[in-house]
Amino acid sequence: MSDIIGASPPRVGGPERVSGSLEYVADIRFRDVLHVKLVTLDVARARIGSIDTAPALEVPGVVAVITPADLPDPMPRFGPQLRDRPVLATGETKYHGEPVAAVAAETPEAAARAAALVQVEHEPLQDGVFTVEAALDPTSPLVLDPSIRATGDPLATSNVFAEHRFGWGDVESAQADHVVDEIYTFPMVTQFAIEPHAFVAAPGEGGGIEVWSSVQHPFLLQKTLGQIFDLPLSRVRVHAPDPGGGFGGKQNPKYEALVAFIALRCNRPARLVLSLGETFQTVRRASARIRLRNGYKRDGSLVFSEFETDFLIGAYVDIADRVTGKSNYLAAGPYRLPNVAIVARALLSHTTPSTAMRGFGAPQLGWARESNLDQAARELGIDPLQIRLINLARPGEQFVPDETPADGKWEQALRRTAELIDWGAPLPEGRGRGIAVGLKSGPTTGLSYSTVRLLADGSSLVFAGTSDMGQGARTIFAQIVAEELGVPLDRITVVMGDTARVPYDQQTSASRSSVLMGNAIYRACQEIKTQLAALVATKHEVDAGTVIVENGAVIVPDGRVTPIPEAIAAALGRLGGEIIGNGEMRYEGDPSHPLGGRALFFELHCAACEVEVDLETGEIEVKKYVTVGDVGKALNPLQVAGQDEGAAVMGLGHTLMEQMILDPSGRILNMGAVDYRILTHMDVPEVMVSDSIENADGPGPYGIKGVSEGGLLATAPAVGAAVTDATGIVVRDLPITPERIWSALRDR
Amino acid sequence: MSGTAYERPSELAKAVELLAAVGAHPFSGGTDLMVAMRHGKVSPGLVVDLKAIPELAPRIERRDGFVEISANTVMTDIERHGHVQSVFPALVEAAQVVGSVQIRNRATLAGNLANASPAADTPPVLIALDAEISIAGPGGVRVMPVDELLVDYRTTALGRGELITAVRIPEPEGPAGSAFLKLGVRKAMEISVVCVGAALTLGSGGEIVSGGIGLGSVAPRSIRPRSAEAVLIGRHPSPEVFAEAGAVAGDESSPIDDLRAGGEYRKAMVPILVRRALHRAWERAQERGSP
Amino acid sequence: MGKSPGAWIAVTRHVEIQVNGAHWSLDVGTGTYLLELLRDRLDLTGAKICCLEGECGACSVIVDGKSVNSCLVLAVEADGAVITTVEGLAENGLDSLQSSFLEKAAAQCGFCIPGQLMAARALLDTNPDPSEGEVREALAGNLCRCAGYPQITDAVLAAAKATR
Repeated sequence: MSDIIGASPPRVGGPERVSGSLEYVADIRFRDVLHVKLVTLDVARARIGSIDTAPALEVPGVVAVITPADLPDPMPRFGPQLRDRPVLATGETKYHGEPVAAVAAETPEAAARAAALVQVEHEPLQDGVFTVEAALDPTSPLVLDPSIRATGDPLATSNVFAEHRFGWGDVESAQADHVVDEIYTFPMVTQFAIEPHAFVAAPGEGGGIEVWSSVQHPFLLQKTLGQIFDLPLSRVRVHAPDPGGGFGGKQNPKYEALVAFIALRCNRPARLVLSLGETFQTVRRASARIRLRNGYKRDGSLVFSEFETDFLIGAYVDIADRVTGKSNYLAAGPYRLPNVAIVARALLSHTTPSTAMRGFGAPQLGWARESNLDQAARELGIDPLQIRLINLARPGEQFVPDETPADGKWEQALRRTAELIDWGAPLPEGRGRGIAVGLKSGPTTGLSYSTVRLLADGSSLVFAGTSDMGQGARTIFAQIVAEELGVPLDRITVVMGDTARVPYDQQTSASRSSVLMGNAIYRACQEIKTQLAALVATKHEVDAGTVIVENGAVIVPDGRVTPIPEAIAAALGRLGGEIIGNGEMRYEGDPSHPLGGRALFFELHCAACEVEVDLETGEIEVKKYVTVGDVGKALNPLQVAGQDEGAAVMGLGHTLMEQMILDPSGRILNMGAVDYRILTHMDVPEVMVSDSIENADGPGPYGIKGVSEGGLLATAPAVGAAVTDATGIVVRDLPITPERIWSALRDR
Repeated sequence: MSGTAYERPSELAKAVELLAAVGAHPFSGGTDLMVAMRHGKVSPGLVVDLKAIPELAPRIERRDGFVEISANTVMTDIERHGHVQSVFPALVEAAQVVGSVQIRNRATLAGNLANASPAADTPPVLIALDAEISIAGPGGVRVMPVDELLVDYRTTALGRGELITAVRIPEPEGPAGSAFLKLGVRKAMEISVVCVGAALTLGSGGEIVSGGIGLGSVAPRSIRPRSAEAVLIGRHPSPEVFAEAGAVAGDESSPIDDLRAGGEYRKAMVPILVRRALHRAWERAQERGSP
Repeated sequence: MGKSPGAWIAVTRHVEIQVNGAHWSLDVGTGTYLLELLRDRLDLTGAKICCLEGECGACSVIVDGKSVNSCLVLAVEADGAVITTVEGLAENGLDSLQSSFLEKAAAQCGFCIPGQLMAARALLDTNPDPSEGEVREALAGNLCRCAGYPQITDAVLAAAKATR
């Protein structure tokens, strides 16, 4: 077996991170840069009148104040699904924090002071849409002007952006012995990357633009800016340094266009770094209200599943309708179900536009689905592990019609989880246990290119457009090259994050990079091997077919074995040079499919935990937490564990303590780190165990699937079930705070 | 000229003089002031850095039957002080949960009091321990009990130009114990939903001769439920007595709903935390025996 | 519109500070924070800007042996102080903590890591053999959203063991 694949060599980019030398966007020094500060209002909805920039312009050091009057007319709009988001708000602000103007100054202090002095005449508007109920109410004001919606869209005069219907079988006539019909809610939470978003733009070569952004999808940003500024892609250069955490919140363009307008107008680089509070106004996860009616046979097997899901997506669509559709398509989970009916609505609201967030809607659905299963298990007197084993799809089973079949031995992950939590063993008084299964689909289309260069001295450069935001992409890419070409890891440099230097990569999302970019790199290596074989064959005057390149070595017909890095110098000959390999993985998808394509793979991930509840105060402590993922192959087990446990801790956040709180006018009350709580070191469960099921059954190199999102798909229902087990009370709304538990105990 | 000025006097009298100006603000650890300034909530005309004043230098001393903690003493100094650990464990418990280590290396006990946040951790303990503060001001020097200092939401009884020079906690006479409990949603970096300080001193027969209770986050300021304390005096400690005191303390509290929790929940938690804190204080009093 | 930080009167004071073993003689604005001094004036961008309210620890540095949030310390206060930032943990290469972080894969996105390292260094300098609970408490003020907390704790304990 390899000592690289499946080993845990140190993170590529690790030394830079521990020495403090890694430059995130906000650390890069730009000569002659202007500092930008957004001008926003302290309400969610307001009609905008005149904007008086004079007081701001008087502040020493202020160079410009940009208002809609300084931007093209009509206002440029952008968005990955719908070009709805204006560069600056016009007419009306749609959410708390939507920028109405921006200041550019010589120092951040001057910009901040001036931004506070810009006088925006505005009239706060009543009756904003901040809840699912308000969004569904036909008398509520419209969030998006119908003229911006797609032509002929019958929903355009409502706040329902889209309605997705999926299903099979016949739920109406299905006969069940037992029905569980409940409503579950999932709060608004935010990504809270420790690096706030940062954007820099500068006039580029030949009238183009050069941008630095903490963005996860540099090529999508490049395309968006090309469209807004009517520039060819070749004149838009995006630098995407490794982000300090993304979690989906840095996937799609946000303020790059605004900063670029400023840079072009002032003919200087312009820099905007958000405050932590501003990130709450910029990105979040879709909150949800899910009504789930499941029908079961007496033995616990599922007969039907009926979902009515409402995702509150925010003021602009961003990628949130995709989140709604994609996650709800698999709402029924990894189970065998003869009858399913899903109606899922993406609802607009006067709140921070939601975007992708780790799990892409699956955590919300998992909360509802797994909680429903647990309730059925209790009411039918069936063990919660058993009820899942009964229903779990088997390998290769078509658990959703016309979809990728179950691509793993999922039962193995579930049994391993049960084993690690000691399922069934007696528990001390006051403690409870829960177990749950999460499912998410990987990408449904994809495209990644890679170029690998094997240099004359046997070292290698790898070019990949993936974003390494902590999941360790650079490392596994280097591992693949090390494995395939025999180049030592410390002689490989991975180049990422620059659209001018690396070939196209569609995006870094859906845990896709190990498979899509992994395969692209793998194939680039195979191309190198083929070329190398040909060169060696020529040198030895034999047929190319008789030269073998494998296991990092070249084997010639006479039996001599030479490691590749040594063989190349001779192979290249007198003139030297290099061998260049290009690889591509293209996953075309299927336009006739409801999601545009079948899942490339699934992330199936199980969670189990043991909790202790203080019955007087409601305080809850997670004593032990287990997370097991069906990963195909863990190329770097330590990195996988870090991602899985990290995701679990993030999951404990939305389970136990995270929620964005709005006042009646839609203002976010708890922006920032004080009143929005994420877990600290001291909140991590005493015992955390993670494991991976590796059956090499994934579509990536060495059988890898995708990881990084699985760890938080089943956290909430596992904890919820454990709380019920410990106390008898059932919570259907997150977060499960001590107050919620106390309230439920009191009402019992 | 508008904007914030900075001064760093090396004499207490000079500090008093500077603080007498309108818009002057004392500054030691800065863990409240600098946050408020960074976020535009407060913009003093003058920040008076107290850290160069010798009388205020970090110091914990036993003097005249009191433990005296000077104004610039920080939370980590208090946590680590052997005598404080022994005699006022509740103060250690409270100091230990103020923010993080980074905060505790800078935050002063005096500052925690002067900031007068209703959710602050140390005031309920200091109230329960009958602590007082020494004040220096234009009118000279005076002394005031902590629960008189805290007047209203973020409002103290300090006059213009006055500053806290020390916190003084009377040493217990007889077997004594104290405890601090904090209820929140996470285990660190937390602003309390409810917090309680409790202290007991026992007489020769094991009866309670003095009892102190301080409550945080249930009113616009930290409060002292005296009727609850009255329940304890002369009684022999028991879970029932503590529950009774807790119930009275709960009746005396009228917490509001806010971002962190609902008023009903808070009110229901007061009796539980008071009962538990009293119990722990009693356990410690028994452990210690006579001084 | 809304609140911005108030301006400080533009006055400078002279400070003598030691940062990572190098001596600096500087005139600093009284309203300059230590974090901005380190990042903008001394080019030490290891300490990060995140919450700017003493909650996240991304700006942690060591001042006179104690870990503090540099976003809440004025540069003028640092006169005469000895300051260590992540860039100064090792004279050459990496120190035992940094190596341990690499070994235990404690750094994911890496943004919080300088702060975690400084809090850990301050801990080990005064408590060379901490328990797991003591490590968690010492680093409780350093938020990590990648949530590599278990790996970070392991790394600190391993570094403590290695240097015993």
